[in-house]
Amino acid sequence: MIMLFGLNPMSKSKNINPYNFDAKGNQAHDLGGFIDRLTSFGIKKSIEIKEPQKKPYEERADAIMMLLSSPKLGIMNIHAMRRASEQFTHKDYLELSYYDRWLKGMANLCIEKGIFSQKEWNSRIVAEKMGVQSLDASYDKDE
Amino acid sequence: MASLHVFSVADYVHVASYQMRKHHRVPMYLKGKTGQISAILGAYANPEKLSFFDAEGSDVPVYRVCFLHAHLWGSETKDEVFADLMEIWIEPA
Repeated sequence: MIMLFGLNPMSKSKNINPYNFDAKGNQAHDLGGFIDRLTSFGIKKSIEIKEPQKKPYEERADAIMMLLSSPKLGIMNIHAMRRASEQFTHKDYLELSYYDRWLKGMANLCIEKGIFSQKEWNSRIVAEKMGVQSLDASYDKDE
Repeated sequence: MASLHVFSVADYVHVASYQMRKHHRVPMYLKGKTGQISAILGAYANPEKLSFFDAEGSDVPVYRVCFLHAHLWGSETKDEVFADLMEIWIEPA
């Protein structure tokens, strides 16, 4: 099953820091209480109260999360997931959708634990991209 | 439980402003600010250690700390902001 990141961008800001720290040592996940910083990242002050359409891959992401969170495995827990997403670059943190952040965090933790390597992960993404012509279209018809 | 706690209700405390590159649970807007302990909440496992699957070590005391809105953001209001903070993140003011 294909899970590529960035399907549903949160922000299209062009001036996003590619590192997870800016010059002042601030991280993209920690913008609370700083309206000027939110707006500088292209995030709207108001919250859009509109339920986004659920995508099939989001339920799978949730299922994978539940499986990997088994304490017996020791691969992830809620705190490790937070740590993983805090280490994203500003660009990834702000542009990935909610479940894409989950997926990227889970992938990073699996790489950290040696379940698969970064190289294996990267080559799998390339293979999936080459094997499927229209990712979004084939995805929506899934199920 | 309360006897393990270094601080008491009504003590003024300062939030440490150090940066932790790996995982740190104190929001930026509280770092370096001063607040007053309003409640003692018991002791809990350190989430910063749990994030590295390190479940060892004793529980850390947690306090509810009251900050003035005006102190945090320089506004004119008399509003208060309450944050639950672990003892490892605060120091005597």
